[in-house]
Amino acid sequence: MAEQIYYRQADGALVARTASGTDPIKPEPPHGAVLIEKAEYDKALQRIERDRETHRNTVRAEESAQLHEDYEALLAAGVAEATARRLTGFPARA
Amino acid sequence: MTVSGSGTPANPYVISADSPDCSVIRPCISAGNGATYNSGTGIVAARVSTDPGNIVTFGGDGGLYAETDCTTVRQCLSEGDGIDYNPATGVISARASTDPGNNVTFGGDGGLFVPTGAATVSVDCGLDGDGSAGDPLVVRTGTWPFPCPLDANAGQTYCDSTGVLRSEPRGMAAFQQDQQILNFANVAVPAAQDTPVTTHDLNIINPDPCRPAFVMIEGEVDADFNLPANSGAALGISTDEMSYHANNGATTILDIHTQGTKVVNATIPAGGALLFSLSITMGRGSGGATYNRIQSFLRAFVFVL
Repeated sequence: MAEQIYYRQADGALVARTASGTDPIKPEPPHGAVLIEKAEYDKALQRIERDRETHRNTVRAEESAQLHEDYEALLAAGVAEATARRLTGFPARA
Repeated sequence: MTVSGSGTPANPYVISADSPDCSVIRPCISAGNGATYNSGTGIVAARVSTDPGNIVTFGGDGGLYAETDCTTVRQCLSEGDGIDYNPATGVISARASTDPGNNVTFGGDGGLFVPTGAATVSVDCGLDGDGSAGDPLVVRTGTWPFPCPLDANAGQTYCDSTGVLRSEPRGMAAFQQDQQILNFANVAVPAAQDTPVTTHDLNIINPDPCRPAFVMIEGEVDADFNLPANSGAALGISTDEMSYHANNGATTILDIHTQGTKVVNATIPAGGALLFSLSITMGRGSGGATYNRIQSFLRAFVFVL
């Protein structure tokens, strides 16, 4: 049997705490934290995960575009294709 | 009665009386209960009742004499519990029960006697002997098998409030775990080394009200970093920087993470608690390094032996 609580810290962190063991004691949130229900936690976590995924995709897309640009520039400068691919990592290997 | 003299020192008064006249005095006296009186002779004597059964008579010397009639007296007595009485002889003795198991007997001097060790008992687990003088009761014990001195190292046994033998408190072991997951938007890793970014607390309980507990505490920290090209970030516990990641490549490393663990020990007083606080630190943030998650475990292994 585990004891779980969910809360938001004053610094904005979304927190899940789970106590377990031979005789689990319900955790105490830190000073300034606000307890929330699990449903609210799950919803907020989904939003964070979605934002993380968006960030990852944005970074990957921007950097992929940059690598592609570098790759094309190397080819235009007469660098062999294999060398340009090795230097830029573009296109990314599956 | 006559008075002579003039009352002077040379001729003082002299008062004298003649012998009494018994014939005048004797009529003044009479006999009451238990007495006879002869007013003619003035002799007073005891009077013995003539009622039937009276054992008072006059002895050979003329005095009152009563002879005890044992046969009659003995009929006045009877035996109660623990007494043996012979009304024919008048002998009174203690009476020992004939119930089986009675240890009261008569000693060589005729007195009541319980021989030492006569109260034997039957024993069961943990006891030897029957309680007799030749085989006294003893506690059945094992043989001390350890190389250390028994007196200095053995535990003890005690009697509880109901008279039951008890040993020293039983050993206890307990386990407490607390998992903490902090989710952030991307937060910049601080530049200063060993900067506290959060804490993780665990209130560890000693379940034994009698003895201190020995506790092993394990703290485990895992942080997720996003490291753009030419960036770096460090993760640590308290003042110990435990890992550092640097990205010298051309693209971002997303969600790189490392798990670090430390183990410490502590003692908690009997019936007490210890609030253990883990300080999670970061530092040497550069090149736009960020973190978005810190996961930590605190595990307490509590032993009371």
